[in-house]
Order: sequence, then C-alpha cells, then structure tokens
Amino acid sequence: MIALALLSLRIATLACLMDVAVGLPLAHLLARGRFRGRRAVEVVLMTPLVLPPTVTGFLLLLLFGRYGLLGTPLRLATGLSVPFTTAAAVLAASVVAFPLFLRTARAAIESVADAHVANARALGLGPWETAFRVTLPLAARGLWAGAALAFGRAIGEFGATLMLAGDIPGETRTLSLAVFDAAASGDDRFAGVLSLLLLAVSLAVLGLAALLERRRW
Amino acid sequence: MVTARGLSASIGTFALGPLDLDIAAGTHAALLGPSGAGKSTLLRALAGLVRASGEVILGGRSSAGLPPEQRPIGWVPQGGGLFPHLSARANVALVRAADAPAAEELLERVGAGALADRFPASLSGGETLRVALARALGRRPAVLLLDEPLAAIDRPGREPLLRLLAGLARDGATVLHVTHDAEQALAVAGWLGVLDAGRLVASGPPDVLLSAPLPETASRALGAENLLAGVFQPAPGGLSTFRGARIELAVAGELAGPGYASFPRAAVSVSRRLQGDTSVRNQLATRVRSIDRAPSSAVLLLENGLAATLTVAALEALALEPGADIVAEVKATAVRPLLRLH
Repeated sequence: MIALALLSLRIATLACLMDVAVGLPLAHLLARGRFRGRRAVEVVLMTPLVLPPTVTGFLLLLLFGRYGLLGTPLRLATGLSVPFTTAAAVLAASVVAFPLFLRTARAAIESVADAHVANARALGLGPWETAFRVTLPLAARGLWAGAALAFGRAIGEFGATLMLAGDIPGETRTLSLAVFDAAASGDDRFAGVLSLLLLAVSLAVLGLAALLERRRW
Repeated sequence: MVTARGLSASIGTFALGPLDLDIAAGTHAALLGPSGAGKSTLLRALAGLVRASGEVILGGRSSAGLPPEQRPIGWVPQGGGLFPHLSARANVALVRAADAPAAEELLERVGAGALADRFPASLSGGETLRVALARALGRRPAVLLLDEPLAAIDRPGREPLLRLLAGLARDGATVLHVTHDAEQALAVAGWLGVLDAGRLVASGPPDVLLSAPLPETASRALGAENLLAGVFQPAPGGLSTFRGARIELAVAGELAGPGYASFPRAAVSVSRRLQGDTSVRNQLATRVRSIDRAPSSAVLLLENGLAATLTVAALEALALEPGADIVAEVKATAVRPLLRLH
C-alpha cells in the first residue's frame, strides 16, 4: 500500500508541477493581457473541468497514440510512446487538474490592484520584473491555493488515467484505480482503507486552499 | 526640467490638454486645480502610464513614447503606493539605482531610518509618504512626480512633511507636485500652475502670478478666494502688516517674511464712504473695475486687485457701476496668512 501511495504522490506532484509551469504564464496572460480571443482561449483551456474524464482521456489517447497527431512525430523523433506509461498517468492527471489551477491563479493575479502594476512600472521595473517581483508575490497565496486544488484533483484522477495510462501495477495503478480494483474484486476492506486515505488527502488539500485563499493584502 | 509641447491625453470622455509646460531644473512646481481637473492624468501622462501625444522632455531627455520604466522619473502616487508584501527597506531596495545610496541611508535622509523593517500596513500616512519618497529618490530621478502627497495627512502632521517636500528641490531635483490644496502648494512652490478642465489656465512663479489678479477661470479653479503675494512684517498690537503689490493689509498674528494672504470674496464688504467707529482695520479706498452679475449675487473686481461678492440687492442699494469710488473692508482676522517655506 505504501508503494501505491508513493506512486500516486509522485504522479500527482509531477502533474501539479506541470500545471503550474504551463498555467502560470497562461494565467498571467489571461489576467493581464488585452488581446482578441482571450475569452475563447479561456473557454478551450477550461473544457477539462466539465468534460467527462473518460472523454478527455480518449482525446488524449487520439492525440498521443501511436498514430496520433502528436504521438507520431514523438515516436519518429525519439522512438518513445506515451500511452500506458507512468508519463501517461502524469499527463492525464495534469490535463484534468489544469483548469483548477488556471482558474484560481487567474483570479489571484486579477485581484492584484492595477495600481500596484502601474506603480511598479513608473518606479522603473520592466514588465518581467513587475511580474516576478510585484504581481506574482502579491498573488502568491492564491497561486498556492490553485496548486493545492490541482494536486488534490490530480491525486484523485481516475477516468482519463484509465483511458490513457491503463491500470498497470507499479506503473500507472494509482490509489483511485486501486480503490476500483479492490472494490471490483470484493476486497471492500482494502477499498475502504484506501478511500479513507484519499478522503484525508482531499480534506487536507481543500482546507489548505481555503486557508490560503483568505485575502491578506 | 520638465518641458511639454502640445501634450494631450484622453481617458474615456475626459480630455487633457493640449498643453505646454516649462519648468526649470531644480524647481518645486505645484500644479493646482479642483478634483477632476486632470491633475493625476497629467502626471500619469508624464510618467508614461497613459497613452499621450505631444512632446515630453524630462531632465533633458525626450521621453514621449518611452515606457514608464525608461523615463527618468521618481514616482510617488497618491497614498504612497508602497508594495504591501515588502518591508520599507525592501520597497526602497526593489527599485534603487545601482549608484544610489543604500536603502537604509535613503530612508535615513527622509527621517524614516527607524522604519526600515516595518511593513506598509503598520505605517501611518506620514510614515508611508516618507518611505515612498525614499523609494522614489533611490532611482536618482531627474523629475520627481508627487500626486497629492499630503491628502491623507491631517493638518498638524503636515508642517514637517511640507518642510521635507520643500527641501527636495533645494537638493537639486525638479519636483512636480499635484494638489487641490492651495495652501499646501504655495508653502513649497517656486512655480505654480493652475489646471482646470484639462487646461492650464495660469502658470508662473507664484509671487509674480499672484501680484496681479488671476484670470477668472484660474481664480474659480482655486475656490474663488482672494489670493495675493506679498511680504509680512510684524506690527504693534499682535498684528502684522501684509504688503502686496497694490494693497496693504493688517493681519492677525505676528508674522515675518514673504508669503501669501488669502481670504474669501465673501469676506470683503463694500461701502460708499469711510466708516467712523468700526472694528475693521482694513478700509481700502478703491474703485470698481467691473461687475459680473449672476441671478442672486454679483462679483465685483476692484482696481486694487481684490474681488468681492455682493448680493444683487446690495449692489442696487449702493448703486454701484464700474468706475464708482468705494471703500472695501476686510477684517484682519478673516485674512489667512501663509508663509513660504522655501
């Protein structure tokens, strides 16, 4: 069970890091940028929030499959294949959790007063310095809250993971997949233990996010 | 040095300018005007925070079209604009020029050395202003832009801060200080501009500007006060004598030095002949130059540069016409004296 938990932890952490790496610049762009099609970009990025995870997983499978739009060039260039690997579990979890980080981070960056950004510029900071020294630090609590939510969603991910990564013990079988396996094979006790563990993680993550989202400035 | 030619900007329906500015290096310039006159917009246009057209030269450097961070300015926005997540020291250090003194020394210079470790939320209005000034000075700016620096500070707390502001230009910086408070501006300014509805309606050294009556638009923008430049000299009996270009007034209080006398138009009363027994010390014989009638009251502009408001009934009872000989009276206690700090 410890190995199971550690694998889940690893997958959720990597997925969360990917979300932050990709989501932070996008959230800043959506919150501060003024360009045509901003709303459209946002709608597209938010779809995994409402799409059934199995559909997200299926689309990812089409995209990253052996003959997929991205899978083909990746295979030809490196000989690697994503589906049914630990990387696939990370990818699935990160895509499904992404909107939670993006939405929270965008709101946090939007809540930083325009005046602080204008003052930073008038005081001599360029756009990058302003983002890293003023805007993001002022939004830090909201960003952490978004990361916590994304982590919580990633560790509980089931549908898209099953579609893209399968249920391979030691590689892609996460806690939530193991709950399904245990319950399906009649081991209610094990399913119950794992469920309790996931419940505890969820409560901890939500509590942390709520604590962080309280306004400080 | 601040030079602008045909500077204009528009935000929504508000249009600023086009206007010209000429402020010499090392001058403390005050820009006065009622709220909504465009004072902040002008500062933001000079700082490059709003899109503006026209030529802008700051400290000898053409700055039109440059992003704000490349303009040689020090920025003190209304309320100080300190970054709440940084201590006073870190606020100063964040934007300090490489060749500027250390953050602690910059804070020391504005009397805020003891505040280095404090966070903005724990600072009073005056302390915030000091830290914001230290931060702006740390950029070694050619031009310091101040937006209503004393707006959040009560009267008793203003004096030391006004002295601090007055000292900035002495140290060689060109200061452009925007305020709606004439007293504040006159205490420190070596150049005065009056902004009304986006236009510069008067500008120049305040002692020159106020030795003659202001244009009516400018006077109205300043709250329709009588505002005169002159010199105070102590006189017997707890009084002082104020000597302006065309007028001499007794003023309550012992005052000495150059300054300004200010009193409402309604504090000037008008009669046809000198009164005998009266407490009024200032009985000034003069003539009516012009009369501006409104439905219920009229503004009299007098030959000695004063303006008085009268009811229309009083105007008719006195049968006043332009050219009429009159006596204008101002109580010594109605005159607010204002000494220059620079």
